[in-house]
Parts: sequence; structure tokens; C-alpha cells
Amino acid sequence: MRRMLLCAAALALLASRPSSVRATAQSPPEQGQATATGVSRAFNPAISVNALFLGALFNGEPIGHGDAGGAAGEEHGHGEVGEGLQIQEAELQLTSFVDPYFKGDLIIGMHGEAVEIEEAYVTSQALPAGLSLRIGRTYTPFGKHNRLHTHQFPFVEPPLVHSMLLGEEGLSEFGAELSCLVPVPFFLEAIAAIYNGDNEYFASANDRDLIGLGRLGALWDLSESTTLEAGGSYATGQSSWSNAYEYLAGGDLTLKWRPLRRALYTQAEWQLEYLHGSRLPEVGADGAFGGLATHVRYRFNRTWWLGVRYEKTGLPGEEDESMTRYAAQFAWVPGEFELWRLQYSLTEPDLAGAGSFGAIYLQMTFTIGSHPAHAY
Amino acid sequence: MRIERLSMPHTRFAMTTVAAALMLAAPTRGAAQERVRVITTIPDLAAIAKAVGGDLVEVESIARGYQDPHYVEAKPSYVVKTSRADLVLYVGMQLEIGWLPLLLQGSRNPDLQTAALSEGIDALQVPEGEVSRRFGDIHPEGNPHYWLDPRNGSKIANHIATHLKEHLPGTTHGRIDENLQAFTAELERRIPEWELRLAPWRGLKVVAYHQQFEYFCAFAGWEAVEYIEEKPGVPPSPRHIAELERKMGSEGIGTVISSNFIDPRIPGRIAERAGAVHLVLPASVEGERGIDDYFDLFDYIVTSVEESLPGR
Repeated sequence: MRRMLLCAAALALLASRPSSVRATAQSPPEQGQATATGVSRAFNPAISVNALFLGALFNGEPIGHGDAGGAAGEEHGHGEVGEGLQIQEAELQLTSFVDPYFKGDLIIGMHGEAVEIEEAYVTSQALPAGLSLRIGRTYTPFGKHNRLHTHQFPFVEPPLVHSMLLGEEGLSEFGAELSCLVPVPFFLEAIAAIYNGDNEYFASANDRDLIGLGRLGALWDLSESTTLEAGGSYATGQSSWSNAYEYLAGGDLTLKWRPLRRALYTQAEWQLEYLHGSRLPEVGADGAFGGLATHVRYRFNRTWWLGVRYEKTGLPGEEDESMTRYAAQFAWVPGEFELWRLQYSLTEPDLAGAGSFGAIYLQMTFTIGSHPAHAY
Repeated sequence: MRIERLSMPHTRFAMTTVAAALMLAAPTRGAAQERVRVITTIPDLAAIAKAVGGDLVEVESIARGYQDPHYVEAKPSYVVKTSRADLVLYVGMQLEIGWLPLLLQGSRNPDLQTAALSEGIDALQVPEGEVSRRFGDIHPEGNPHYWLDPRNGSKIANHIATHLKEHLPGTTHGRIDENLQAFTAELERRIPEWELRLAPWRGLKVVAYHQQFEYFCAFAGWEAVEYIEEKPGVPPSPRHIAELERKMGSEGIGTVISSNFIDPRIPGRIAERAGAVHLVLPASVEGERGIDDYFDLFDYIVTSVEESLPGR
């Protein structure tokens, strides 16, 4: 298997040519200019920092595996939150071209006292036939939410079903992703990837076990203001907690509206994501487990947003792990570099007699450094 | 034992998906092509590229003329366009920094060439001293809206001609030169006409919403003395608006200008309270009905000035 991977990588490199996505008059827009401090600085990577401050107030016992729990100051993983006032997370992002063949990205996350490499990958610049190869540790392209960093989350907490199936780190792995644009009149991207299998869902006892992942994502322009995106993802690999091959499947739909003439003042988004695992890790539930999260966000003037989210887990699944969560959010976004959010979430277990859990969050996010491009 | 297991379902699945991806990724580019496929970030560059390239080019703009070019979204459907293009022409000076990098990276097109057209432009409002977002969303290389001075049109056209020639056989270069000459000659004929029509308002002091029309103001001999945006990209506070209205009254500033993708209510209200004229202008080709090329854009703007501003 390894030999095959090495051969494939060698072939891909041989087939590649030095990138000519090159600037003929000026440097590409993502690269900085040399400054008075010396021309060597021109080769420094673009650096940006995102930080999230959070105040959280809980009512009831936190529920939902991998969901909110503990107090501020305790260590929490990617996107996890505790009660109290805290630095939820700080992320340092570095990006630059390595050489004509690769672009490199490094994202370091700091939460509590933990510092970890959230993502570190190189992306090919020169593969033929519309192919792109990404090698390294990534937030794997499984569905929509799994790819987001904490500061990009549409709501303060990650969706329940993601926390329950994938744990606090999500499906984040080291591996190789090959993707291509399928030559059809609309956007259709196919991704095939192989990763190391050392995460909460595909937690193999054997380090040589790998995960296979595939995704197909399409986007259509319904009008100049509206797009519809649909995607399906599938992953499979060996799991130690069940000693068998397990799978994970997901589907997502996103509808976005932003009138071009008034793009500064109004926009709306509806998203639905469903995740389905062949089992729920570690709980002992024997059957399949699934859940959905759907949200609407609406920008009603230049700086104010309103968002609501509905989530349901245990579709299908054990009644013990079945729950519903509602969230409502106000956001104030004075510019591209600052965001304030006030959110209320209510989680209700479907099990009779179990108590509900409410949480109020006030979150502030800011970005300093290089101007990042915004993924759609 | 292990080899057997590793060759089981997940490996087969991965290999199948990789093979499927490879098969689907049929080459998107023809071996021999006659026309250069050009994508521009704004319609103004597309209009000039069409004029210079004629039937040797296929040109499409990503942004629409009635859209704020700062806030274009990097829609995956635009990636389809860049994946099939030979050349991407952009304004530069960080105008497209929030979205163009993703369209280039996502294109998976190693033969794609990109060119900023800002070379040789006398940039306005290049920040001096400290460059910091404390001063708003400023552009370290200066104000990027340079296409709004028609005197920059021939510089842009010259750059475009140079880049197009790199993609075309030598036998066609004569046609590019002819088109370029025709475009430049037409511009040289029209510029004095526009200057003459704008002459009565030379020296006009205006309040502008954003630093969008700085280059047009330079062409018309106007001075933007204040901006409704407190700092670039920062919406105005009530205190700033009140101060602005007071200043307009005391200095006799009778004109407020904003582009047609800005909500007209705030500048309109300021103009009304200060007894000024609110002039809403298109900032790009195709920004209003009937603006089909670069000349139409200035015809439209100059006509709007003549029709809206009190004669002097």
C-alpha cells in the first residue's frame, strides 16, 4: 500500500511542470511587497492571527458527547467551550509558495495551554489535467462543517452530530488528497483521499491502517445572486472500538443569496448537513447513528446578522443519545476583521426525565495581519 | 495477514475513487487554439480587452459593473471560468485581494497567466508613513480605482496588448496594434470633449461616500474634501455625519457623490439636509443600462454631471 502511494506521488511529481500561474506585471495579490526593512522580507509567508474570546454561562448539566463541558481554564479542543470567561482559541496562520511546485500552509492552534498543529499541508501548483494534490495534515474535506476552523464556525459550538461522531478534533488527519474539477458546464469537484486512521471515529489500534475518503460537490448559479451547492461525502476505515470496518457518510445542501447591487447590505444563507456513521464511537450503541444540523443566517443591514439553528441527533440511533438543540444568534460585524456574537443554545435530550441544558455565549473574534481571502 | 487486510475494502474504495477522479479529469484545454480566453476581474478591463483583442479574444468579466469590486465573493462557479482561461487580467493594488487568490488557486490551471494592469499608473492616495488598519481598510499601494480616469485608459490598453501578444502568433500582432491604435485615437479624441463639457465645474468641492471616484475627480479637476465613510470601509457614525453636514454648510460644499452600489439613503439624506445635490454615478462599464464600453462609461458620467449639477 505504502509503495503504491509512493509510486503515485512520484508519478504525480514527474508529470508536474513548474507553475506558470505567474504574475507577468506584478506579484500575485496574495504576496506582499518588499518593504523598507529589506528585500528578504518579500519571501516571508503571509501571516495572520485569529483569536476568539468567549464568555459562557451554563444552565443545567452539559450534555452531548464532546459538547460544552467543564470550566474555563480547563483544556478544551478545537471549537470546544467551557463556562466562564476565556480565550476560546487563537490561531496562527502562515501561507506562502514553497517553490514553483507547491504552496505551503501552516495553521497552529492554541487553546488553554495546548498548542497544536491544526493543519500543515502543501498544495500542488503544477499538476496537469486540472488535478490538484494536497499532502499533509488537514481538516479533511468531509462535508461542510468539518473543514471549518473555529473562527469560521457559523455558530459558537460545532454541530452536535459532529461532536458526537467525530469528537472534539473532527475528522482531522494526515494524508494525501487528489482533487479535480470535472469538465461539466457547472462547478463539480471530485476529491479522493487517503489518510492515516488515528482519530476518534476511525481509531485503529494498528498504525498502518488507512482511511479512504471520497467527496463529490457541485454548485449551480440559480441567478447572479443565488447559488445552490450540494455535496456528498463517504469515508471508510478500520476501527479499533468495533474491530471492524466502519463507514461515515454525509450529505449537505447550501443555498446562498446575495444581491450584487446591494452586496454590502444584505445576504442570506440556508444550510443543511446530515452525518451518518455506521456506529457511535465508544458509547456501545450497536447500530448506525446519524444527525442533522440546519441553519439560516440573514444579514439585515451593513453590520447586523441574525441566525437560527436546529439540530437533531439519533436519526437513526439509540434513544439515549437522541437529542434536539435550538440556537439563536445576533451578530455584529463592523468590518472584515472583527465579529461579535450573542447566542443562546438549548439542548433537550429525548430521553424522558433527562434535564435540558441551556447556554448563553458572548463571543468576540478578531483577525490581524495579512488580509485573508474569504472562501465562499 | 496484514497485506490481505490492507487490500480489502478501504483500499479498493480509495483506488477506485482515485481512478474515477483521474478519468473524470479530462484535459480541459484544446491543443491548438485560435482565440485567447481572457478573464478580467472588472468589466472595464473586459471592455478594453475586447477593444484591443477584437475577434482574437474571448473575454469575460467576473464582477458585474453594478457590483462593489471590493466585495466580490469567490464563488466556485468563477473557478470554472479561471480553470478554462489563458489569461487573467486584474486591477491590482490589492483591490481583489479578498477573492482573486482563491479563484487562481482553485483553477488547477498551471498554464494560467495573471497580470495586474496597474504598472505605470500614477497612484493616488498612496499612504505615507505608518500603514495600519487603524486608518480603515486602506490599500498600501494606493487607491486602486484608477480606471475611472480616462487618461489611464491608454496605459491599461497598452498593457493588455502586450499580454495578449504573448498568447497569440506573431502574424496576428499587427491586428492587435491596429486595434490598440484605434482605441487610443478614439480616447484621445473623446478626452478633450469630456474635459470641455466638465469645464464649468472645474474646481468643484465634493463630499464622496468612498474613495471610489478619486481618479475621476482628478480628471474633472474636482476636490473630494470629505468622505462619508469615516475611514475607508468603515460605515459613518452619527457624529461624523453631523460634523460633515456642518462642514458642508460652512464651506458651501454643494455636491455629494456616491457609486450606484452604495445604498443611496445615507448620502441622499446628508445631501438633503445640507441643501446639496446627490450625484449617483456608475463606477464601471455595464454599471447602468447603455454603458457597453469604456467610452460609454465617461459619456454617461459626464451627462449625469451636466443634467444634475447646477450650471456655473
